Amino acid sequence: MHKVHQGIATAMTAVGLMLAGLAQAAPNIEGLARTCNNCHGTGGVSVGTSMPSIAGLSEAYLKHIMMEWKSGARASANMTRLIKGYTDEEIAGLAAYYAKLPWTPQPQKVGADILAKGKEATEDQQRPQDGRGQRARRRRVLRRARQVRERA
Amino acid sequence: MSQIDRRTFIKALAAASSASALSLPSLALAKTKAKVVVIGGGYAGATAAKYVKLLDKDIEVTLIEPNQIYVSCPLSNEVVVGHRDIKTLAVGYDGLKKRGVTVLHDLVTGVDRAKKVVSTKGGKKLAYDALVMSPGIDFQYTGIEGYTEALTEQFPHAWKAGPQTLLLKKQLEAMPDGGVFVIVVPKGPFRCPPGPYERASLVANYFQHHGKKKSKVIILDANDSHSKKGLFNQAWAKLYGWEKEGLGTNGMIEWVKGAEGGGVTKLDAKTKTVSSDFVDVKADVLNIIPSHKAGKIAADAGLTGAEGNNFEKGWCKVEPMTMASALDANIYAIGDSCVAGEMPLYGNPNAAFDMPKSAHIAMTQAKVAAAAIVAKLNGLPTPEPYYANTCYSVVGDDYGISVAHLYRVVNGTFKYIPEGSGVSMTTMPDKSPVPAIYRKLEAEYADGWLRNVIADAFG
Repeated sequence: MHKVHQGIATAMTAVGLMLAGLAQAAPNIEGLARTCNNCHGTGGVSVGTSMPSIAGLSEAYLKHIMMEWKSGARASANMTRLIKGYTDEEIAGLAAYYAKLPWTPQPQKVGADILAKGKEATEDQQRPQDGRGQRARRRRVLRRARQVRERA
Repeated sequence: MSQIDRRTFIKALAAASSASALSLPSLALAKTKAKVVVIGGGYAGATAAKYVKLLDKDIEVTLIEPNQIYVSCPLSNEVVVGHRDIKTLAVGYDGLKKRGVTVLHDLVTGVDRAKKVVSTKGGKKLAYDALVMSPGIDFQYTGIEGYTEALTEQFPHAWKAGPQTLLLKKQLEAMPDGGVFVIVVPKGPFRCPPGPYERASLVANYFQHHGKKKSKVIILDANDSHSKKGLFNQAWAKLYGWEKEGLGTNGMIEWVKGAEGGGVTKLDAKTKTVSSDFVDVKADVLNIIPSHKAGKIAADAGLTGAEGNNFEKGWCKVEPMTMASALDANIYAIGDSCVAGEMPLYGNPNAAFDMPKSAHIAMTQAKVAAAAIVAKLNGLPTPEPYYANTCYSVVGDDYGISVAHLYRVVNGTFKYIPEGSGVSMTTMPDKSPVPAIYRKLEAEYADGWLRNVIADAFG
């Protein structure tokens, strides 16, 4: 146990050095990612419509967008602030971490009246040009709407 | 998800120390039957219970909370002004139960720290290996002459969400045009640092939409500055005619700072008048927010009032690496009841201030505590902690603002990271005005944030 604590002390010193840009230590990416979950959902799966799910997005995209926020090349109402406090290694680590998690669609709760409107609109669109392809597509759309309704 | 998270977590912990990598995997895989008890089912306690279970399902977790339903304080100001149904802030404990957390609706009556046992009003005695102390805040009704706890039914604080929120809403609705809505702000630290100013903004917004444009919101503030001040003042000028600090201005919102008589010391309940050494203000709706201290349970357990500066009086001091109490290594004090770290206080880099008492920071503290508890109970090294805060305030129609904070632990102490912190822009980098879409987005993010924090803590 004593050795373990020495290890922690060394790791902490390394963090200090890393902040000063003098040394690299392996960051605790999972620990850092848990802070992202607050806004982006447990495991990066968001249930708030205005916040994107980040689990299962491409690693290259995630890394790119975060690095652009960090450099100031890309605008954001919020992310440009927090991200500037992360090292490049942490950003790369987060991108790799969330890219490995599965993309999980999150059905949003919709009122029955809105679903009925959607169904009506779809039928109106499809009817005049009904062919085999359109019929199949229409069935898919309706099936999907039913699934969403049932899950909601 | 939980399986993957747990396996990789334990693997990552083992890998973090090369000395332990060879000897620990057998320990990590062994069935631990350690017991974790969590006191208090707010954002902090619920998150701690959930994440201990996520990281090691073999640990028994019991959450003790007297209420069946939790009502979120964040965004409850929107309920006061009728923008939001209080139901959207309410959440039960079924999500935690599904994850294997035992939820006990009971009241803690004592903590025996020597024997590591928690007693409840219902007669239960629960032994623990690690205890999470997250009772939130208690109010102190002292400091204002003539003010008592009973008077909160007449002058609601609405600073714990629920019936108080709805009472304040009712009083606002009943207030005639030309009335004065007074918000009394206590000396910090208080939970939700931008909360009083968000409330003032939304009440002014209510006046505009409900034919009460002759009404006023007066903030009597015991403090000399406040959270997101530049952003609030900018929004008030744009939306509510704000001119400058002090009483008697033309805007809908007036703010009186402590140095100019904002610190209320006296209440005349009969005439609804609050007074300081400098001013007397007669209110039509009087919203007194009492000063705060750590929840009674934490104080009774002897975890508060650690030696130190005045700032730490009445709060639980913690170890930065783990969120363990500075006074008891087996107890983790998280959320509003703790005092953690130093950060610059609203533009004054020399003033000591703790992490803001927000739901967001409470949840990141809970996640640090959960990881530290699971590591300790598995004989693994303490993982590196990260603390982050994001706090949105909705101040008008399609108008939101925010602040972010990032902290690391460096050489065993909390370190505020200014590069990763800051408020929404007041101007664009080229000094041009901030496009409305930024404010609209942040108002929308506030709602997305709420849904996700509720789900991340209780789901």
